[in-house]
Amino acid sequence: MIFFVIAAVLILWQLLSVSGLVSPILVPSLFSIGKALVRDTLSGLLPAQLLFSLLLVALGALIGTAGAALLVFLASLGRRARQGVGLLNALLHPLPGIALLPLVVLWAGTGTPAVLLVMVHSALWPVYLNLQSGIDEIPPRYREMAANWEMTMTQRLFHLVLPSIFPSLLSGLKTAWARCWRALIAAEMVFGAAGFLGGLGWYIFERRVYMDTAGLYAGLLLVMLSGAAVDRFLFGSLRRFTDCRWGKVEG
Amino acid sequence: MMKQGLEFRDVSFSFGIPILDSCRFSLELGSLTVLLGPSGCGKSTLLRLASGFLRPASGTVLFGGLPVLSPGRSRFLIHQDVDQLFPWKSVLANTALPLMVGPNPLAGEEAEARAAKTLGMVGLAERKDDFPRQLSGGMKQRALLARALASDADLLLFDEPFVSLDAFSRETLQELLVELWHKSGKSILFVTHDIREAVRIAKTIIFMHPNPGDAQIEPLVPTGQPLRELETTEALTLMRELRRRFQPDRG
Repeated sequence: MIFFVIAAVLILWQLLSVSGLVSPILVPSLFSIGKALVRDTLSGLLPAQLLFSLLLVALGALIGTAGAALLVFLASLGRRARQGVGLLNALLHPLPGIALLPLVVLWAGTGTPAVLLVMVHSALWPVYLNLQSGIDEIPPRYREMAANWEMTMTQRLFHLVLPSIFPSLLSGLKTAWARCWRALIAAEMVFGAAGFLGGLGWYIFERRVYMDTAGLYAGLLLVMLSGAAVDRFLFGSLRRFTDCRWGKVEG
Repeated sequence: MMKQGLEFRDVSFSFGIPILDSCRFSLELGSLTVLLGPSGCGKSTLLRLASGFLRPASGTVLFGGLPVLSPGRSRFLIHQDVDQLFPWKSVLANTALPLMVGPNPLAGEEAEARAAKTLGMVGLAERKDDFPRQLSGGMKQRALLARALASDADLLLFDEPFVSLDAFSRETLQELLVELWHKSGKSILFVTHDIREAVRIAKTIIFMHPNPGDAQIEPLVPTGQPLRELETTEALTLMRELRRRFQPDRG
């Protein structure tokens, strides 16, 4: 089924391109898109930009997760603190990272730090929400056993708390990844590059400047494919592992 | 080894309504005692006082001659629900965990060797690498028994551990419990509302009346050893006697 959908889209595309109804600058032929893809892959430009983007997302997710852990800790300090963090989350979570861009420019200038700041914002709130609900869902029985066995704080953390919240952390990271990836490409387009490396978003933006539409489509294709690949292979396999190990699915 | 076991000295406790009133009894170390009483008479509360999760409003709970002020490793509490096994740990790791935590944790290898030994005693040697979700209800209870047995606790407190099992598994586990009690030399305080279960496994039965009063706790000492045949005249007489206490107005 999927194969037929893809084949149909490709055939339509190619027909549109060769028919001459639309300018080949708007709809370049599959061949020229493929050529651009191969050209920039072999030259190392595309792999470098892709790697740069992925590293930026990973770094943003890492800092965002650390920040979320800090928020969870703050929220655990008392009812007031919990309400405060909750309010902050309610206000900032709906704010798309990209809407922060003008402000971020003022704070961090343009370039990588600005993009990173947007990444951290995109990761922070979904990870916080999931961590918090993971913590709230730890069975009270676990705390009782920990007290019964006189577990120290470190032992509780490593034997009970972290394993308990691991599936929640994972689904938080999955949401964070989805938000980060979209925000990243957009942010890179606005001001990704400090020189040659600016990520995939910058690459696409650059292609437009050169009127290299084939390259532009190649960039878009790579954004789609790599996004889907991370979703499916990284998160998919982690999900299967936790579902099975944490007892949600037989396996 | 301590000579004195568990002792309640004029212990009172209430949750708005009085649950225990000047309750006093003592258990020898190494005894197998069943606390029998109708549902809602405060058996679980008494067990939570013995384990240190609740503090008496007045009076003292002692274990080994020392007042019980908080939950501790010397008194191991086991419930009926199987959420006491961590889904992300294998049966072996679950059994070894209490030994690997606390102020003086054992090294992993030593703890696992001890856990493997008690898993063998409950007949789970071949399932030690399985995860809890792969076990039946009866096997989970066996694993909980093995965990309590492997621990360094002197007193095991059971809160109706076998209620959710089918009749056959229940009988097998009752036999196993008595056998392990003989082998391990640990003290056991076993709470149940099931007269047959009490008569079957107890060395000593203490009966708990639903209404707090002077004789809330009545020690009853059945003759002979645990694991009584229920079809004997002696056991039938005892059960009739206990049933009368459950429903005093029936005379």
